[in-house]
Amino acid sequence: MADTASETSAVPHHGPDFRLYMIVFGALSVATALSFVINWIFAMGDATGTGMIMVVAIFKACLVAAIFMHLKWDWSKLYFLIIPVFILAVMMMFVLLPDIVLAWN
Amino acid sequence: MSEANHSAPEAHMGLPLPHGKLAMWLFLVTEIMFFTALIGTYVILRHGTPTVTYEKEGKWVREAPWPKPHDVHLIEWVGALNTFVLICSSVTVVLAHYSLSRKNVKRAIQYVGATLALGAVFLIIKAFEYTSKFQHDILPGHIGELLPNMSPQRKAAFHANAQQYAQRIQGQLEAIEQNPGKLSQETLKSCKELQEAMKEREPDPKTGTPYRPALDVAEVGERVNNILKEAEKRGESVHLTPTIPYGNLWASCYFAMTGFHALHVFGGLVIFAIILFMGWKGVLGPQHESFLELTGLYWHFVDIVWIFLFPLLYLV
Repeated sequence: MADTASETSAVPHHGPDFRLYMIVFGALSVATALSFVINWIFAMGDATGTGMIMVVAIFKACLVAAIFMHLKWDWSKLYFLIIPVFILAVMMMFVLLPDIVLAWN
Repeated sequence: MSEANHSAPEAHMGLPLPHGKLAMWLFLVTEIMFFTALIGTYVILRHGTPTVTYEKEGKWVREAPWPKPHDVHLIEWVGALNTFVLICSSVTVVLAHYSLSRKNVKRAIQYVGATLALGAVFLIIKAFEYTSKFQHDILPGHIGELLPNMSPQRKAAFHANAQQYAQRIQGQLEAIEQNPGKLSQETLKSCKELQEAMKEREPDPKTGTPYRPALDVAEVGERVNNILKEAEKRGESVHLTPTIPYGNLWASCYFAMTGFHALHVFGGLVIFAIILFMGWKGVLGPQHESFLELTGLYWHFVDIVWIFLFPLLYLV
């Protein structure tokens, strides 16, 4: 019989509650506005601005994954799937880097 | 089984995880690889474009020629709005699951309806953006690539594109001539001049006019861009394809990434529609909590992909 991983009891500290969801929503909205403002301040292609915006994007993605996707509580059961994929994803971009020279005359 | 072993823990087969959740996560990591292919290729192509050095206002500047958002009619705040819409839809789907876990089926159906509505808003805003691209003819393969003062190697590499672009512009100029619409006299005059310049002029011994070859495609591109810039100042929209260096590459990346993302959004909306239908029929109940949770996982993934697409395409 499949045991549901989500908490059906009303014990709040076993999982996220409404308040936590709203806090995360607020944080995500602020982060979106922040990345828009950073882009406004820094010119396009500027490395500092780019770096800050990507850090904000990673922060937002981690918030969604941890709280909304319940990974904060399920991490120990799922890390074996997720970690190799991120290694693969990064390595795929490295593997493609030499193709940059195709554009050089 | 001996009763004396009750104190020792029993070994269980498999993971302490429901099958559905394991399967959904396995699917999501394959989708991560799918979008990594698209986004990784975009990052490599973009940062691999060779920098150009040219003179600007008396100084030599060196910059990457990749199109800026303004060049390709991309508006940052529209992307930010889309990001906010998807974040709201992620909140509503998680609250739908939260309500269903507390046996509040009616509230869950309301939240699922809100998620569906927000997802539809996202797709509608996307449709407006795509329409703007189609109107400006910013499509892969259509955009001109050559401007004056570019290297001979680049001109040779883009020869085929240049011939196609010249033909496309000639067709568009003829269409403007036949159907001027609400265009101003200045715009029509510029278009007529360009049309004449793009034709060969045969020499005439009687009047002594010399032979003049057809205008070089790089010059055509520059003049088209000038016509478009002047028309935009007057608030007109002229149907001429612009010349944007690396614009075709940009358009391919843009439509590939956002198109596949939009398809994923649409797939999620189909499932939400099914859930709403089940709610309408009265068959949705707390036993579907797992179904809703897994759908929510997919939807959050779609949201995360957009969280990365937005800065990569609109901001940096």
